[in-house]
Amino acid sequence: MRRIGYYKSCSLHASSKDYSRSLESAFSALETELVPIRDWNCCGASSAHATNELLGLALPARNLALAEQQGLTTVLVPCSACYSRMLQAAEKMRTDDPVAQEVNEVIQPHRYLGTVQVKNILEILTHEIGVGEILRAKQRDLGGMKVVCYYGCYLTRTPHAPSFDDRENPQTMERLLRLLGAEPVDWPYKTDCCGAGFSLSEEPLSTQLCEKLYDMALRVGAEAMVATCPLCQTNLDLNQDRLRREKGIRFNLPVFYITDLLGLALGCPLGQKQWRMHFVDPKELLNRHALS
Amino acid sequence: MNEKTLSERPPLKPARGLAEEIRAQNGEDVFRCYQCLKCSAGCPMAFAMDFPPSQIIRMVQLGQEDLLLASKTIWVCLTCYTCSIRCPNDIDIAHVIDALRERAVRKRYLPSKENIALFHQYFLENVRKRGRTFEGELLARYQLKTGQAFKNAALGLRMFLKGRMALLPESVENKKAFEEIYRRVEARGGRE
Repeated sequence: MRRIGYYKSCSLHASSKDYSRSLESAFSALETELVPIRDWNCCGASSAHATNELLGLALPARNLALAEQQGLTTVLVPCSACYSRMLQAAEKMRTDDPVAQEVNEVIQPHRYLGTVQVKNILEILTHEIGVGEILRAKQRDLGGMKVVCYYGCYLTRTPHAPSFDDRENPQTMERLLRLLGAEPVDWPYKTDCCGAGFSLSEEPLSTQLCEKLYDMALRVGAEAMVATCPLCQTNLDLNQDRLRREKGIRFNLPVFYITDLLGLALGCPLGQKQWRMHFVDPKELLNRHALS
Repeated sequence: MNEKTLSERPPLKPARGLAEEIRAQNGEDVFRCYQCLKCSAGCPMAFAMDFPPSQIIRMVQLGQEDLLLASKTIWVCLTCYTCSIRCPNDIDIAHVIDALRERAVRKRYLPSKENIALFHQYFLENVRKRGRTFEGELLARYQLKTGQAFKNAALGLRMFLKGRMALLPESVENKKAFEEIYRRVEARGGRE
């Protein structure tokens, strides 16, 4: 059985528990063991690097050191924000000795030597597991569901680090979903920011950014949005609920995690327990495509 | 424009100090900027800023520290990195703004977007306690402080009803040892 390190971060334990559920069930169908980083900590998210660069490096570095100590060479980081912070810290420490030394002094007794590969969910699925294997495990077709793939900011835009796909027009998610029988629709906002960082502190700003995305998704004929990041999913889902309550505007675009759709295609038992955690109920859409 | 008007203006004293300090601190060289304005054109938050990213870079070149540290821009920037990856001169503009924000906190400038600054502060204090975020506590504390308690109690409740709110916090094994990270960071230059 294949073993991959797993940084199951804060949101996957709480506000996006449903992401970890569909992700873990899809990986078990793909016969891949996810090994959690023992005693992991929060990566510091935006708040750490936004106000203190050293803390913004030290928090992810502690996780990298723990993974290294556990003998994990590849670590899956499903949350895009965590992925970007972990990747940036790993790259910085690999390429800048004085900084690596200072960070290691800060996180002692831990020490990161620089041997861990930080990977996002799309990289793991297409590079580590491979589309061939996913196709072999596929149980059913996604019935031509029209979706827009939403990559957001941090999957492809981590400065000072190489990107696994084109930074502004990535295609990995589209290719994967097409193979699973969905119909991804091209759209211009796949890497535009949804404002999740302000979903608590400046709600109206985040709602404004989301509205632009919903509007375009509907204009290109999408029935749903697909995200890889728990913060994007929550923000895109919650803002539709907010717009419905506060302004009576209904976009009715269910927002799936990539592993929700992957899980459906692999025949994972997701069901009502999974969908009831979504603010925009996907049941009707799933029925329409005979996927419920 | 006659000479008199010119001499009546307060002299603009460009000072390289700020730019040099940022370069020494995080490696970003703002002098590479030739004002193509690509960063400002693509910025999703420009509509809410007082100075768009290209002007921020120019102001750093000129050493306009007071204006910069009191600006809305440094708090409104979401660090989406659109500017950073599009810059033809490889300036990581969001990284420059990170450095300015860090400076504003260290020098205790009054943040022009108080709620955003407070959110970052509470978030980091939340992580400091247990090594992991406890969303429920963060939400409650932040909203009591910002006076949005009622509105966002509703948000918390909706998240809870959807099963998206943990009732109990999680933590690292040794909280004291974890907090040492924060202490060592502070010892290396926290607030002034």
